[in-house]
Amino acid sequence: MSIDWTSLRSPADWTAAAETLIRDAARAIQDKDRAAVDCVSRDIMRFTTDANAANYPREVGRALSETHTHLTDFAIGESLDSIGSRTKALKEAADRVREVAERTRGRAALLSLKPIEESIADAQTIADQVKAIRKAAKADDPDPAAIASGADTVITSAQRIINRLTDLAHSA
Amino acid sequence: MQRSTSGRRAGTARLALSLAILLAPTLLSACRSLPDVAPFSDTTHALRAAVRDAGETTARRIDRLDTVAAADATPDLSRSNTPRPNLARHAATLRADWAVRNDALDAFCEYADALTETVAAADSSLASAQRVIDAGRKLIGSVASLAPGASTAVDAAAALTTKLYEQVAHQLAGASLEEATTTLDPIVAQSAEVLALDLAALRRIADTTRNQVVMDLRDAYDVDRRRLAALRTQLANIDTADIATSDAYVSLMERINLEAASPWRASYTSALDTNESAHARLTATLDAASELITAWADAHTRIAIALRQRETPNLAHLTALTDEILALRASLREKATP
Repeated sequence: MSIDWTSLRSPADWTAAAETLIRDAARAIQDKDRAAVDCVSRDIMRFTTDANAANYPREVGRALSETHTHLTDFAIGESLDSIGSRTKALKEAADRVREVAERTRGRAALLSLKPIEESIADAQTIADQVKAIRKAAKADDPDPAAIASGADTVITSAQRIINRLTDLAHSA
Repeated sequence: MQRSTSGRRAGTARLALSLAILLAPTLLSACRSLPDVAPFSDTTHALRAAVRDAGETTARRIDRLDTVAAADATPDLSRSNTPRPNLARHAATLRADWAVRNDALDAFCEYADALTETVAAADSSLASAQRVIDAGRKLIGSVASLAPGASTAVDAAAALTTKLYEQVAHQLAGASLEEATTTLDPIVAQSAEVLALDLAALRRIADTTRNQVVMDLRDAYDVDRRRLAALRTQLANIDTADIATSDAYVSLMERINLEAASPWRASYTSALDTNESAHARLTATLDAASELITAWADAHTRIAIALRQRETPNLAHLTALTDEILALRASLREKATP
């Protein structure tokens, strides 16, 4: 019920209005009516402003303060119920997000490490092969067959790098 | 020797064929540029921090409903000493539920980091590949005169590998990002909706605690407030014609001025002001976080679409909002919460 503030003159008027507010608060809480709770809370706040402090007996102020604490208890509880009702959905979302994050991170690791490590290993192989070819070429009696064989090996190594890139391209 | 030469020629041809096979699809498709996901990651981290702080600050505001009046008031502690077990229970419930929000945002941060790492991995693998290739080319150059067939083929491979690897790495990274963002976009959107509702609920709790603190302070200072209000009522009731000469008026004004300058009044108004500023900081952070969360989900959708359409998303708005929330969060943290 809305208060007609202009009609409040005597302490008795203020007391009667406070009783109405207290009843409204009890009803709003009982009905679990959040909008009504907020409305009564606003009215109690307005009722108890500094300017009005001398208009009503001390006990009325105390009763309103106590009533407001119940409204606060209800209002916070209602907001928490609302938050709690969504907790399960958020938990499930977090699990799914972690799953995708882990998979994505695994792929990133694969992308950055494995092909490079393999390429470095192959480059080393090529380096060793090139050294062997140079050694063969510098020999007193160069063996063309050994040089040709070394060149074939270099081609094979290069082929391996190309194959790896091809595999990567296909998997992409 | 004959067989070796023909074998080498065959190897060279095989290599050339492989290169052609590898190049064909790659060159047909434009090189895939990866979106800059760093702003999204930065925002996710800023959002996590803001949501965490907002939840804890609100819980502390509820905690303090038990003590605020007692701490600030001197005249009447009887009301504020009344235990409020429900409020303590509410703070515990909020912390438990909010821990799930914090954990969800931890998960989103892990995800955002994984997106960033994927882009970085594609870029760094290209750089690493470049180093390997440069080393290889030097070696090949040194043997060119000895095995011309081989060196030509390997040199060709080396010359192309940088470009190929760039495309392959970006293609792989792009595919991984596309799959991840497409899979999670509905979940990001739903979670953003949930978190926006949660922040709105937190905003309502913040308003409620602010009002309760005001009520507690009014109750604790009731005797003093009542005395000052009575004096002001008397003043208002003095006949305006008598004001200039009335002793009653002068006396009343002196008493009102004394009350207004008294320690209780200073303490009371200071406690009210502290409550208002704490509330203003918290609600500013909550409002900004609500706005940011919508922009965050929108940015994720933009990234997902950009990856599908091979475009670059515009995340300037997101960056601006992130800066704002970081500033608000800093202000929330540096002030003690009453």
